[in-house]
Amino acid sequence: MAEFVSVRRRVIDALTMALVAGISFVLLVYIGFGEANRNYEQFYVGKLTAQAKVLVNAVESFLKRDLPLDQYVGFRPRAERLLNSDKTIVSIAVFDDRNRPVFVSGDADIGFLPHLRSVSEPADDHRSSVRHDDTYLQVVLPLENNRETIGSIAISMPHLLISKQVEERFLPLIPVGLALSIGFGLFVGSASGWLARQRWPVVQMVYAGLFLVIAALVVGNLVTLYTKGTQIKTKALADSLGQRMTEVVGFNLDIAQIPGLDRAFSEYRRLNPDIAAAALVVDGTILIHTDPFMVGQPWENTRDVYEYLVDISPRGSERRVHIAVTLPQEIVYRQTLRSVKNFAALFVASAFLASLFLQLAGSVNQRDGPGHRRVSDQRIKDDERYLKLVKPVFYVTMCVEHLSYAFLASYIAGIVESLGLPPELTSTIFTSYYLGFALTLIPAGHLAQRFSPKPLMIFGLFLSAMSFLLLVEGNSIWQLIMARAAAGVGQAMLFIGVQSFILCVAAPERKTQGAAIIVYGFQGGMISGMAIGSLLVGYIGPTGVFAVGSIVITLTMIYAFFAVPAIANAAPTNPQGFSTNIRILGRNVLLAIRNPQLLRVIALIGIPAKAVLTGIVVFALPLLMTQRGYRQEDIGQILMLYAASVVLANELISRWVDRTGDSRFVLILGAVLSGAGLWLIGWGGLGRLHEIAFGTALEVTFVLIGIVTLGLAHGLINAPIVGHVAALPISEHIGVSALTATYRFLERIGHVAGPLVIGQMFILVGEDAIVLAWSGLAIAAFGLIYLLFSRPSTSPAIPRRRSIEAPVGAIEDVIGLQLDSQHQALVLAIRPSNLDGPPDPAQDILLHHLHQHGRKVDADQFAARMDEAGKSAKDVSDLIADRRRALRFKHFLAAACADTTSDRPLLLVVCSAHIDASGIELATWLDRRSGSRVVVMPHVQAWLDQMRGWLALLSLDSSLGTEHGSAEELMSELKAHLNRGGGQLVWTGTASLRRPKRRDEPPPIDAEHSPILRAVGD
Amino acid sequence: MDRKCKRSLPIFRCMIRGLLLAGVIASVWPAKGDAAPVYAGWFRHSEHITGAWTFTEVGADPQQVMIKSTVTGEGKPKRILVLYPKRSSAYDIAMSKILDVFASKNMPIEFQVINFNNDDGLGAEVLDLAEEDRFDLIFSMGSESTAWLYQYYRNGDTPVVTVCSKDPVALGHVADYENGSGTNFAFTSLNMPTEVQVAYLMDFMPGLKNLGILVARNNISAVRTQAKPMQEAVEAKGINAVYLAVQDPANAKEELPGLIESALVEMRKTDPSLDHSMFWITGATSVFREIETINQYAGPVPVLSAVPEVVQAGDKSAVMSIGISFESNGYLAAVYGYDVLMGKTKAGDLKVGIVSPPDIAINFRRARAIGVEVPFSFFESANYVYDYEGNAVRLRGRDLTRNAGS
Repeated sequence: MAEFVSVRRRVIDALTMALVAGISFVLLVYIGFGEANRNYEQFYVGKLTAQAKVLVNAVESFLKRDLPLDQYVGFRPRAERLLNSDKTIVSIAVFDDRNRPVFVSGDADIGFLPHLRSVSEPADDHRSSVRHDDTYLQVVLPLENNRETIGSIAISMPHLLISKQVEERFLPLIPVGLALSIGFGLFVGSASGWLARQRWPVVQMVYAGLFLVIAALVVGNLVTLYTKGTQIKTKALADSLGQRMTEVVGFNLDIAQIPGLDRAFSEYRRLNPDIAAAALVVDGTILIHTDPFMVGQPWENTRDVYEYLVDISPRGSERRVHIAVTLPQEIVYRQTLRSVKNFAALFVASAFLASLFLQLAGSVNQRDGPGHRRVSDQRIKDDERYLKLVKPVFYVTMCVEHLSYAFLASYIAGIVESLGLPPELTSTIFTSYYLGFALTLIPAGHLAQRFSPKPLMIFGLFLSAMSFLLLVEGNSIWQLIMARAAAGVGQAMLFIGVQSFILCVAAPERKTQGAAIIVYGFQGGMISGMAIGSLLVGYIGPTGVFAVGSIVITLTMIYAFFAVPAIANAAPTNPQGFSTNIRILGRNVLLAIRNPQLLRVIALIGIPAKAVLTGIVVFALPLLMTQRGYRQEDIGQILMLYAASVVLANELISRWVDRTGDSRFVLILGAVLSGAGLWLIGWGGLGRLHEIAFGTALEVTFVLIGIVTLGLAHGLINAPIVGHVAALPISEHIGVSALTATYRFLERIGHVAGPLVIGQMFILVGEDAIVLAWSGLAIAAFGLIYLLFSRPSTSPAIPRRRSIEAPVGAIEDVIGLQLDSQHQALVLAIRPSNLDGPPDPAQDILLHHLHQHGRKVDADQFAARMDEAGKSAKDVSDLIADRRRALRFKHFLAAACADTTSDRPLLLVVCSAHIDASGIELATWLDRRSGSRVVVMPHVQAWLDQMRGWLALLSLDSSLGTEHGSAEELMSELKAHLNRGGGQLVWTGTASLRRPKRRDEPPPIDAEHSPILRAVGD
Repeated sequence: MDRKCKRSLPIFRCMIRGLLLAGVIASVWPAKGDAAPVYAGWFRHSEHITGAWTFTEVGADPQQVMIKSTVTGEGKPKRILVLYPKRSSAYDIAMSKILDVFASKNMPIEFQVINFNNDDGLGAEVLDLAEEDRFDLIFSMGSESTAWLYQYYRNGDTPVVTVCSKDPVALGHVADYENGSGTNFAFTSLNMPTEVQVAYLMDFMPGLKNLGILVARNNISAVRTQAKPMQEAVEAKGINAVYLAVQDPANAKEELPGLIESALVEMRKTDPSLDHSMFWITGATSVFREIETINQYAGPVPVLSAVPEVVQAGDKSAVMSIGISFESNGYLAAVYGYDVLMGKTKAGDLKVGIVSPPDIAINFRRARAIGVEVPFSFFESANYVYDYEGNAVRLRGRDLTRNAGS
């Protein structure tokens, strides 16, 4: 029976993983396909536009003399030649100002096509528009005389010709993706036993590898297509020029008798600046060239250009006549890169989704992924599954919320303008979101506490879906305000709901993992949403994106309703009333704003940073970039770059701050860099640079550097400022958690004020990027003022002044123990008591432990001692007595630090006497692990004492008194162990002898069940 | 109708009836072999349409021709009267095109073409006949026919469509271009807007100083709709308009050398090298058919025309022409006629039919002979191109060299 279950289990594993992989791979291929279709169509649009421009130029030279359109003689012959030169074109027509056909060449049944492509016009020509119906794609360029638009030229081609080429490239990838997914499923199903024994997440690694293989194939196809696509226009222009010259040559006419031929060549070059040169070459000698100095020279191949030769030699003639057009390779590479860049953004989004799918599959399957280690405790397993079930809810909602960020500002500004309302209302509409969000947090928290997080989530999702629906139909100012406010309220409810859900269901060891859901959901959702939304808007327009957003959130709501378990109460042990919460918050806010130190950091660093986020990054920047002609996809990707920079800086600086403790410097640096980034964008990127030579390139460079700088700067501020605030002396009065919560509340002033302030500045000086530059200077000035009026940190680590009365963390597990004659180390897993826990729970526990021993050590004194101990350890790092043992110790630490069961912080207690450099290096590495800490004891005896204390704490929680026996017992065992040759010793005896019996006592530490201990050999 | 016309009507009515009867008899009479038909002196047609139509003499009357479609069908064939004022190659071109268009409609139809030779009496008989014999439509060929019919048959029962006629607005036949005549007339125009014509001439020769305008004095329509407006237009632009009016169309060949020589003298006053002077021929048949003489005396001064058909193969050609071709006008008239015939619209509701855009024809042989350059934009736009050998290489926009190759 067990065997049957095992086989059934394997089959389900295989099917699930094959399905997940299949969906992910096909999704990736489909995204590549969609992106290729869109971009490839753009290449054709560019080509048709270039061809139409030549015609427009000819017709307008006639119209600008105020002559009637229908009297223009040359349309039909020119159109016929174009049709002959390019078989993809099926119709060329001239329409009058009422869209009635004046001239038609080709298929006369194709009229003025009904649908307008929303945001797909080529950026270099804002006059053109792209229309379509089910069969045809049509590029329309207006015809103007000196005063008005009096008609248009439309060139049409079938969609099918474009999609067919893309399909030929991408359809073969689908069977490849399916084959790989089936192979992946078989691998997972057949090797589940082996996978379960692996320490590394082999399934995820294989999955990621296959995902990359598919991505590589997609990118390969995209590059091939785009390389071809970038040359379509030039080739078509060469063919068209050739067709125009064919008859001159074919009729054996004397070129000298036909003035204006050279102008025709120059015109091509002028209308299509990408072209390097165009020439008429007869028997290898240039007769006409866009560069007059080349006339009479032999035609030679030039490096670094693509060359298109069109043979127009007359039949039966010995003369070889060619039209030659060259295109710089750099242009091809640049355009290809630009197009692939769009896919790269989508790749990131789809990778997030694929990762989500894999995790979801694991949770739906009601067990860990086959590569995960088994967790015996059923509750922990359930908790983990619950966390995975709720993860998509938050991620998808964040993703959808950010779908519109690249274009929302310009969209709302457009509606406000069309309604004839003052432009400052745009910022008011933006503010309504943040105001709704801020005002909902506290009531939502209360509701979550009092009732259950699930209804809060569901209602939040409902409001979000409604807000998108309101935007779809949004044609009045109140609808827009209501839509954004509803979105803010909904997002806040969802945020609190998810957070409360995590607190309710997550086992202590999963709390960090739970916190990661918020981080992953927000950052991943933001990056994915911006990438997808900015590209999606090109397909379906803003209202289409809103409609999709509404549908997706509704589906998420349905998913949440059925999949997310209802949790009875978020915090049943703390049923504080709403008014009490408000009172506490009010009291804390008053305390906070009366504290100059806290006020300074909030007013000069925290609030300005948040105001820049909402007022500039989300509101002003997309608006200004749209005005400057940036494509929506570029805006989305630039914002995505901002988000990625925040994440990167967060990641790096948190470790650095933990190590050095100098958060003040980091905050000031963040403010100054933030100002610099804004100044770069406002003055350089979107300022007046485009008016000078190479201005466009410089402009883009400045925008990119500016936005990355701004992102990095905000990364420097976002995480460290919480630690910085928590370390302020006021935390001893109102507690760390309360202080950080108060700070979080106050910084939302910045969220709300951002769009309002920038909106007012726009009213004062106009919608000009100089507002960004001035804001940058102000932000930098705030940072410098803070530098002048704040005191440097007095200790190298940030959280030195925390109250030790109530520990905020606890010992959770023994990860490893190493004892030999030279090395003594203990690695413990610890956990913070809540998700907003201190940055250094280890120290907190340590201080609390000492406190229980009656040793009233001040945090700073203790830290100083720890640091001295660390220094002494480093000083003796050259005392490596036994390299073999040192290496073994290093292996032990490496294995201990690589505990991948969770991201829980570790506490490493080592004796410094004989630690070698490699050990210190690893200890330093461990120190960087979020919330982890290294405690260095100067003597073996002290270390043993500590170890006993830690182990007792582990077994007895914090109920142990100030004494837990001498170290003699352990010492004797240690000596015996060393006499046996040393190595690993697992000591379990003493604590269990002395501890009081508890019903929920943890199992004794057993090397066989501890993967780390098991993995570390002697 | 005036009194003179009314007096002569009964006589001509009898004559016409007799002629028609004779025509019917002749149509069933055995063929006379390869002898030229009696109407050959004033009526010709394109060879390519002979398959769709039968051409028969009407009795012994040399001024009539009966044209029947080879299509047989149920019901009575539609009957169309075509009124020629005289012999003209322009009318032959337009009539051929009309027949071409109606052949494509695949319907039984009869054309009776009568040359009334600008004779009011004969014209009146023809009108009587048209009404009594219930013709379904009248094509008024040429400005003279149109003027005569407009005078005597305005608001008649049978609808009239004009062909190869000058601008009816300029001639006062209709108020504007946007509305129909409100009578039984549907007008088409051979003219293109003068300002467009001037623009093209100045594109062809930037810095134009002298324009010699060639017209026949008694060709009222050409004078009123082409020569005079052109004179005014170029003079408004500071260009010297040299007005050359042939007094006697029958004697045009003799008059033209003197007119041209005196014009050249005048042109040299402002343009000694004659590099910025040109001649422009209006749509007066008596003038443009003397193109050879005009070329001979114009010397290096390019001769352009408002009539595309004046540019033709060989040396007897203008350098270039910009205007509405008779063929294009015939096509438009046929479309108008068909719509009226089928009851799709009333003749009086149709606004003035103007062919757009105009046609450009270039003869590179003539251009090279006088050393004139042809801008590339004209070469590209031309529907008719003749090469250095004087052979057609592009006709109706089609590259004949390519077709020959393939």
